[in-house]
Amino acid sequence: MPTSLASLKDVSKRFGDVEALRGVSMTLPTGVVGLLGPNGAGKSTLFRLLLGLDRADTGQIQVLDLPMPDEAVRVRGLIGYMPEDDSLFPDMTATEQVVHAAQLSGVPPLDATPRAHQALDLVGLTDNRYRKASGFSLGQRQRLRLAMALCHGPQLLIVDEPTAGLDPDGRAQMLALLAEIAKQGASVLLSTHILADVEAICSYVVLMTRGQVSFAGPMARFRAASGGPSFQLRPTGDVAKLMQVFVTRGIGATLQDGDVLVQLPPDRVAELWQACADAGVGVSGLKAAEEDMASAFMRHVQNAGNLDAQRLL
Amino acid sequence: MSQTTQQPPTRAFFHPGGFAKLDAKPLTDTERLRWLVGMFARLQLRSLTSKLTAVSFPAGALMGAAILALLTHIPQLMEVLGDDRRVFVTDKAMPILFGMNLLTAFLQTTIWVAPVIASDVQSGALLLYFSRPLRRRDYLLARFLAATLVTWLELASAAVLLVLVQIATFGVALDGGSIAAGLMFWFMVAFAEVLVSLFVAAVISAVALGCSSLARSTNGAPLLFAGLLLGSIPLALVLGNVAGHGPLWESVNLAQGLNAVHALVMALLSPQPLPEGLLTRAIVGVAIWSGLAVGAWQLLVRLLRNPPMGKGRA
Repeated sequence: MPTSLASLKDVSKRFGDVEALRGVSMTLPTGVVGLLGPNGAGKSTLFRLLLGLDRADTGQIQVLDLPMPDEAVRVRGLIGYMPEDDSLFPDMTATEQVVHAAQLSGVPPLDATPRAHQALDLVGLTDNRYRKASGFSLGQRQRLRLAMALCHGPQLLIVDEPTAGLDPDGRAQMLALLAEIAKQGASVLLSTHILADVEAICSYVVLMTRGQVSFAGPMARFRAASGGPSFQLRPTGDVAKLMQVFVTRGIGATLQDGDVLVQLPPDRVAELWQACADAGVGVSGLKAAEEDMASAFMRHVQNAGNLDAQRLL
Repeated sequence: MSQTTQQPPTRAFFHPGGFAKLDAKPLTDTERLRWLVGMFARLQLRSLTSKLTAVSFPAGALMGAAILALLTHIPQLMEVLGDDRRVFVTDKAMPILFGMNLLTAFLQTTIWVAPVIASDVQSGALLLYFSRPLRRRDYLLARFLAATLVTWLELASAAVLLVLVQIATFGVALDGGSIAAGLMFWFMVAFAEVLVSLFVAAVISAVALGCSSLARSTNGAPLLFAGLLLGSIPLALVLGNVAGHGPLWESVNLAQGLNAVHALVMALLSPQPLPEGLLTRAIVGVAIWSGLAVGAWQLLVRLLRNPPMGKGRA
């Protein structure tokens, strides 16, 4: 098993005057990783580099522990890519499309057909397998594209906007499918504009803005990190005095429904206890504060100086 | 003590608890290329099966009937030599016969080959191909070989039809020593036709694919290819008027240039002297077409170096 999904070290990519990626360094763990970012943030360029469709101008990339683009052909055999656009042949039946995709990925012809049927079963297109894709609804087309990405048994599934245009029911089904696939052992790299999708299934989040990584880390840290409240404290006693002590000590704190949300890095938690002692206040509850996803996203993007964040919410 | 060796699974399947259980032996590069060529050829034939039925067979039948009419009613176009009934097509008839053959090839290439890469760009299939473990050169080579194969089949079938009609019209003497000479002649005609067809199929397919990569539109690519062919006719006339008529300028007419190659090969098989200017026309024709084919190939390589990924994106 690979140690990481992908590892990038100081990767830059320029298209003419546009600097699509600027010194990107990160390591993506296996599991379900969400890739967020406004349009033009560099997500598509990152995908192209991970798939070996382009070469980085500078830096080093490893996908599934294999160096890119030297091992691009091998890596593409281990990756299933579900693009945002259709990439379907309208005249072919669903089964033919998946067989076609499997063979393109190097599955021998004799194995391709049974695998195609298994993939179609998995995505819930069993009853529509002999229908032509031209007659499919948007949700069915998305499922078909997912089956095409899965049919060769990839270690890593890269999905680009899989729920775009789907109704709430279709969206929930697609997310459930992706979660099921991850449960079966494949890693998933999900690019989306829909924050709730990332929140629903991802354990790790990467936020890109203007060609740079603004945040890369576990979901819980995404909500908590860089300026957001880190602790949710339930005091017993004189709350006003406690707030005064926080101000005196230069610790950011706000009141919310009787609790105090404290902005303090986890390594400075001792100062929290000291402030409570100074104020003579007891503590009946303390936990890591959770910010809602949209607020966290807004804050991260605004920290990165991107004013278009509102459009994504 | 008996030892049991667990054989690795040879079939690929989805496996609960882990994808990437693809234990089947993957295809080798050669197998993959062969499969790709077959797949692209099938895709070309598949999407146009109705056109193939509707256009090719009546066109072939019409061609045969026309040849028959020519041979029967216009004796000055044909020459029957000696008692062994060998029939030689004269230089007056050759451009008509091979021109018809070539016209079919141009028509088929315009319909079949020109749109294929443009169609991949438009439909987003290019992304499907390139996100799989395929090298770009494999895609390009397979597309070219498939296009050549399909065009060649069309040309060769027309060539064989031509020979069959000629045999049906004049027959082959079954008595005495004339049989061998007659059969050998017809075999040579058929073989030469097929060889020329292979060359012609390769160059016009390359140029058609080049148009495809330049236009990137399923409507634009055939129009560009047809425009290139048709545009060369007035260009040849203008050049001929400016610089004086001659075989050199006639070859600028792209159809004429390849037609001359056919005519040259047939003339070489005939005991008659070569028609005037035929050799020049053939050489210049081949040079122009080869130049176009090389240019088209460069266009294709350039397209694939930075391929347009995604539906309708350029």
